[in-house]
Amino acid sequence: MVSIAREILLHDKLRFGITVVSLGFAIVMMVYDVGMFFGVTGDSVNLIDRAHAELWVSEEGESHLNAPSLVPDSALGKARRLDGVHQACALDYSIGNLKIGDTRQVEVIGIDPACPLFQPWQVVEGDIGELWRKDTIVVDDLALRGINLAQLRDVVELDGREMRIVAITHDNKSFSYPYVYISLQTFESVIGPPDHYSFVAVQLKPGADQGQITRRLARANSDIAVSRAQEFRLSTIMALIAQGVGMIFVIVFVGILVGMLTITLTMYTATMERLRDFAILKALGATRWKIWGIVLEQAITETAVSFGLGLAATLGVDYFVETMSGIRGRFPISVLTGCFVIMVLLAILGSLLSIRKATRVDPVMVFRA
Amino acid sequence: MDELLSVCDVSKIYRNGATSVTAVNHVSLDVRAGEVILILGPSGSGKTTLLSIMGCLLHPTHGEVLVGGQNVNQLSDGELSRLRREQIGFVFQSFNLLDFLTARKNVEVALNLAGVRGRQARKRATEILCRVGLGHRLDFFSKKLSGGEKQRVSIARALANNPQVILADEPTGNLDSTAGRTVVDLMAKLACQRGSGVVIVTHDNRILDVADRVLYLSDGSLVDEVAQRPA
Repeated sequence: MVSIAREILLHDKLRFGITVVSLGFAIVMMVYDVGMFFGVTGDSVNLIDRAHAELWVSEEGESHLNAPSLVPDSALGKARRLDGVHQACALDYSIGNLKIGDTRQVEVIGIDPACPLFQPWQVVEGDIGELWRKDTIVVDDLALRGINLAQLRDVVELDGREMRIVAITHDNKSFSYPYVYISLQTFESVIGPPDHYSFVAVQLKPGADQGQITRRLARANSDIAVSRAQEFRLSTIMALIAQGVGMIFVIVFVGILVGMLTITLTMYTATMERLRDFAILKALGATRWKIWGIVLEQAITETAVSFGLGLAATLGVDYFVETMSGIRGRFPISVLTGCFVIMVLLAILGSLLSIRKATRVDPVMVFRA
Repeated sequence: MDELLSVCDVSKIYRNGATSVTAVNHVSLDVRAGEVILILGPSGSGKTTLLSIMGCLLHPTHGEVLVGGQNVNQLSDGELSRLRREQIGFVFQSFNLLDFLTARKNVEVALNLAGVRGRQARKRATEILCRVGLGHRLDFFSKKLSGGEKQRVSIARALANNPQVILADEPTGNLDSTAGRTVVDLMAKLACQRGSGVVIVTHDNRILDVADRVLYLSDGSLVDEVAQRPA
């Protein structure tokens, strides 16, 4: 069967190409930034997701991971002694300066290497168990990027303190900085303050009453907040959005707007140029729905091709940005499918004006020269 | 002979505020199977308006049009579209081919609209184009065809679905005399072979001999009718 829509599109390949590229640009704006949002927020809550803890203890008023938080170190012991608690681990968190040749900013994570809730992942070299030794450090390879100097067992400087690299990880990072891990004791002596942790994460036994344990934890410690993991995760993401990551949505909106305008304008122009053809088709017996179908098929075909191009460009841009800076996007299939559906809906909306014109054309015009 | 299409006391009046223009004034005519009818008249006499009404592209202000015995005034837009697809073929002065399609695909589109698809449509389109002498131009776009060739594609498209009636509006208007004659002879021959009726609206007196009947229209009214061949 002759696809009239496809024939119209391919008849003027230059116009088709320009439309696809324009729409593809809008799609890059949308998809890349949506992917960046998921990448940025996903990386920022990695520690929370990997802890598999049900509850998080933080300083009152600071219920997210990026906030400066001080929890008395006694909260850890009190949590461990509660019925229903399987295990509890402390976490220290700060921004630091790692000197390897030049100085790079890193996120310093203080952990108990024996406590399972906070363990570095994707260890590519070395043994994280050696973190119990004084002045040792686990460094992510992102922090070593571009440097051929630092290797396992080498000595580096963290905030002026020399430490020996005992392990190297891969992909341990927030959205902006690589992680380095030191022991809680080392963290206290290098960064401080004493007698406090940043957070305590609590994992419950199966069947434990989460509400009851939450209340008990809060009663046992003053000036702390106890959050469920999902709440803590969400508030971490919301804090990130409030700090500027939310600007991504502005760019996504602009991308959607550009896409909508592009499709509306190109479809309208193309339809007006082909108005006589639609009159001919109506004279030949094409129904209104056939005309609808032709216009929609044009719009959706252009959108689909543009989406493919835009997606390829998005992945290329993401690869480039990650290579240069370590910041990467996440593009789960559900997100890509959602973006595609949005673009198709926009294409349909953007075509409505053109459809109206095409279906209302008077077929009697075929008798006019 | 059975009437394939009947126009019964049809008028078309265009109103614009207080003024009105009567484009067609109480016209009646029948089109029979195998018959070629010419409608002659000066510019503005209502020929094209009458053809539009006969082709179910325009509703008359008064009167009825019957196609295959069916009163088209009572049909919905969808039913009228179906009627045009299946029972009426159009040939236009300006050819009205789809310029983004080849000759063959222009004919295929008419078949697709009537529900004939794929290889069958392609085969029928090829057959019809070969019958009109364009077997060597199947995959040419219209801008590469001469005027006579374009009009033959238009005829092939009009005949594709074996319509009952072919309505041709000034089919020789953009052609030289030789090409015009060829086209009209072809249209009349093929249509009559299939038992279709043909109505040709024209200024061209040179093709009078093709017709079985010649009707003269003036100021929207049928003023004369000449039978050139017995019914």
